[in-house]
Amino acid sequence: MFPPNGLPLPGEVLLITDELLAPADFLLHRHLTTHLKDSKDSRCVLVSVSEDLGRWKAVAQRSNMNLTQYLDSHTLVFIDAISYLTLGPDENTGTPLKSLFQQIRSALCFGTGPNTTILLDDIASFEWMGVPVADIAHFMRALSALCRKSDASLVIRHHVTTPGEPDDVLRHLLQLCTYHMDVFPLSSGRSGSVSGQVALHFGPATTAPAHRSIPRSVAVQYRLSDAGSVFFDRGTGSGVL
Amino acid sequence: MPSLLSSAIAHPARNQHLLLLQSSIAQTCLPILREVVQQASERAREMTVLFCLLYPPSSFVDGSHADSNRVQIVDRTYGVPGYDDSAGPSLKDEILETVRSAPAGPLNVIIDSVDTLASDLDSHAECTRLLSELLFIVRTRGGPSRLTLHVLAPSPLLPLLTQTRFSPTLTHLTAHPPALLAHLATAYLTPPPPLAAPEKFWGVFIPIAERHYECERLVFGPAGEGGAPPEAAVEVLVRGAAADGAGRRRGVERVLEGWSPAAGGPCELRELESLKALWTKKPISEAQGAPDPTQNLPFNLNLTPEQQRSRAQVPLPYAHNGKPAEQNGVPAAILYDPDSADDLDDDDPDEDLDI
Repeated sequence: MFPPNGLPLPGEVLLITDELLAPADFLLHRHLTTHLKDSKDSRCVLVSVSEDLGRWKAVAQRSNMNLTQYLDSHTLVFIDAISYLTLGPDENTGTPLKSLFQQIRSALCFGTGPNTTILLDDIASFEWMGVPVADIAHFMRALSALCRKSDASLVIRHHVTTPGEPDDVLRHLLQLCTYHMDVFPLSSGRSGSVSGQVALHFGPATTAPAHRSIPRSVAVQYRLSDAGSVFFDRGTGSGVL
Repeated sequence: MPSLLSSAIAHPARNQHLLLLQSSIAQTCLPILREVVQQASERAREMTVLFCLLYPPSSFVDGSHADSNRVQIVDRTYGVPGYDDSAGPSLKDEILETVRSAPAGPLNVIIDSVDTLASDLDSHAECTRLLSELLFIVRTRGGPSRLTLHVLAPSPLLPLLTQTRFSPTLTHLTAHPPALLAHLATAYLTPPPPLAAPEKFWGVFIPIAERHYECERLVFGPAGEGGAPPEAAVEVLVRGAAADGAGRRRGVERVLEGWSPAAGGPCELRELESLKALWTKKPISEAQGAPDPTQNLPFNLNLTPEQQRSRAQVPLPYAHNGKPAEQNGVPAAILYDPDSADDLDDDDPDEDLDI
């Protein structure tokens, strides 16, 4: 069964990396809907950098989920990251991401639920917008420490533009994560029956992981459809069997 | 031969006051650091101070060890510059103060990420100065006191920490992905010792291991697994006057051992699952001489005994047996009948020569 239940647990950090040919949007949407449907006490803080709320609502509607009611009841908190970013040559900015961090912190403190998850989509955009890598690294450290303190789980998405050569932001992220879910395309190119593959790795500081790792050689394949995503082991897709 | 890795983790020899653990993103050394922390916390009469700057304390000590009064954990993961609003002592002061005020006796100081320390102090020089001071304090405590540092390569601090000027004695553990050794065995035909000569192996291994992008490409590239397996190949370098039982000085000793959680920690390279294929490869057998053309024919080339007997009785036409032909009793002579044109004269023609 993929993705495994209970990933990530409170206090843990899940890093999802994807590539241009195999985007991981479906995993984020799946995590959001699964988490909100899980129990009435579940809360979610959605920090979106590149996508706006309309798209999240539209995709959730496909799974028969009305995000508006969750937003109204403050079970779901949406934070538009761009509006809290302090960049620009005329401002004396020491930490461009500090106000965003403070906004996330106040969203967490407001009505603490036992089962809170923070979804950050995505971290690579900060680097593309010009935030220095050191600042992003500090932000990530502070955010993961905050999640550990508030017992919330953290899901971060990072776009990989140079497959095979980890960039500086990814180096920092790999040290902080508990799990690393790696979404990558088929090496043989596009296919109608298989959209891509997913592998699962552990972070360096992970002790006694609750799930088994899935290296790339035995990665699980998935196919996207209108209703969602279907996972299957390689060689067992409907087009093959 | 006792494992150098397990002795480096367990009982620091006298004068070995610096233990350096080097990870990379291709392979982490944190499980070994965890083992170091746990073994240090179990040793009686030794105090362990653990500074957590990047990784949470739960990665190193579980609940039972955390309550021990022999372990003091300083959790500075919240103290991120720019995001920490609490007004407390600076990082450097806090570290020095904690170490100086530790109870008397042997002391183990462990820092989980030296790169984070350098980045928080915002200066490599400051960081190196602080580490020198810590090493000095640890050395004055004497006995099995040790400063343990964890570095993530590539790091500009690494060359500074490995110099003899920083510390004459050093134990340096570097974690390598097993994929690197498999790659050397297939692409460079140099398997690890004892399958290949150590000098040949180290000559090939050291330059490649220092090129971190090669290891990263092996793990994260198209042929890689995307993440490091739990087992690792550990390069153990021991430098300095670590006297063994006979009191002999060792210069620099470098070995390659394995780390496998399944095998309970330090193990030999042959016990690593991912490298088992190197040891079970059968040697190529030599060809059994030229192939015999008389085997596997559809017709019979052999002779029956009757055929062999009649064959032996055939006289060979031109063979000389080595015996001269039969004697007729007549000695060999030339018989000549002169005809009318011959002028046979039995006199000696040179008789009337007068020289």
